[in-house]
Amino acid sequence: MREYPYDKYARKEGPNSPRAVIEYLIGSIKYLQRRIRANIKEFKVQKYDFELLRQLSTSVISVETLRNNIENKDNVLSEITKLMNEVSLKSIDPKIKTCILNAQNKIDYHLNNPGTSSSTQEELGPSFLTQEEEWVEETGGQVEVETWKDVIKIPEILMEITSYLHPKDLFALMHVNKFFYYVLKSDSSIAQDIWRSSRQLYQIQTFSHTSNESRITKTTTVILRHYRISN
Amino acid sequence: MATELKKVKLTSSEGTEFIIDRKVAEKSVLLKNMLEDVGESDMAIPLPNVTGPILNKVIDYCTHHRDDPFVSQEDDSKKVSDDIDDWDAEFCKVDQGTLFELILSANYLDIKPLLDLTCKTVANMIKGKTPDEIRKTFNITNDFTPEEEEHVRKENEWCEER
Repeated sequence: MREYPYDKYARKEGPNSPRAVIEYLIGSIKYLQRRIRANIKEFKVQKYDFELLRQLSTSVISVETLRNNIENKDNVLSEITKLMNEVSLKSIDPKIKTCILNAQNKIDYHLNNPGTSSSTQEELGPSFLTQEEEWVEETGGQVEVETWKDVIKIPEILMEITSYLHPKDLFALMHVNKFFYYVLKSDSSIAQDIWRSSRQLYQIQTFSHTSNESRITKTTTVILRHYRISN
Repeated sequence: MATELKKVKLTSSEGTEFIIDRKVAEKSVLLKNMLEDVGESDMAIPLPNVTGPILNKVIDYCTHHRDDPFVSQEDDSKKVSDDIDDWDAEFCKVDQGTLFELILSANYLDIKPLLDLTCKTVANMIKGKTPDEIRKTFNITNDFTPEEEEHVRKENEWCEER
């Protein structure tokens, strides 16, 4: 059975000792990052998820730096609490909410009981650990492993790359493989943004001159809707 | 003046340590926020998502562009991909694996100009190409069956005939 850094410090120094709390938070934030990334990969996202991901990256670095600078921890823990509140408010994923609730309880308990660090004190559920185990079981822990070919499939990157492309190039991409086909023809906000920004960039105004409208299929109508959406 | 001389230590995923000017590090919004949050510290900042060679490239980029004005996330008014200057073009002459790792790192470290540059480079590799040429360029497998391919072709026939 894998021993996480939190387990080690909880066993040696107590579950709410400064080091255990820091390791718990690092684990929790990384878990949140993985869940948000997975949602992003499945296109179940809003734009603010990208911003939250960035903020979580900053936080994980801040907390990791605390490993060697424990004296400075209370300010950082307060900041992390604020960020977690924000993530919790914006997220609808129940696993994210549970993880945050437990992490916040851990921080609150630690901040309100700074003198307690024995292993006999109240133990708060190490929820992220059990969820992490489930995660590895479900995904084989492969979600973060990206080959370079998969990078283009990250919605944020795909949006950035396609933001320079002409609609003709987007149509070419649609023909490349099923991934691009389904992403670009989907009705998601990301697909709409991609088509809209391309149309705006190249100042494509209308398709009313199209002579083949009677032959337009249902799918093509969806694409046309992307083109027209911001008119 | 004193701020510019301050140094920041970064540690790549393999544990290699890089010491750079704080001004260079602050080209990354992630590091800038982190440095503001944590305050004065001599400790190395761990970057577990960035390998040493890639971090080296990123530092080269940030050092070269250290005096460029800050570009905000919203500053997307001019989305053209043919405005890459000579130094940047030379910087992006790397294998595709490195290019995509640079994209990931720019995204992770939140360095908007580097993300723009690398994404423009990839966009330029797509522009004007046929689906087959795009597949060859990025070594992408065509997972359509011949029937599905024909269906997709027919679906989009209207725009090819214009």
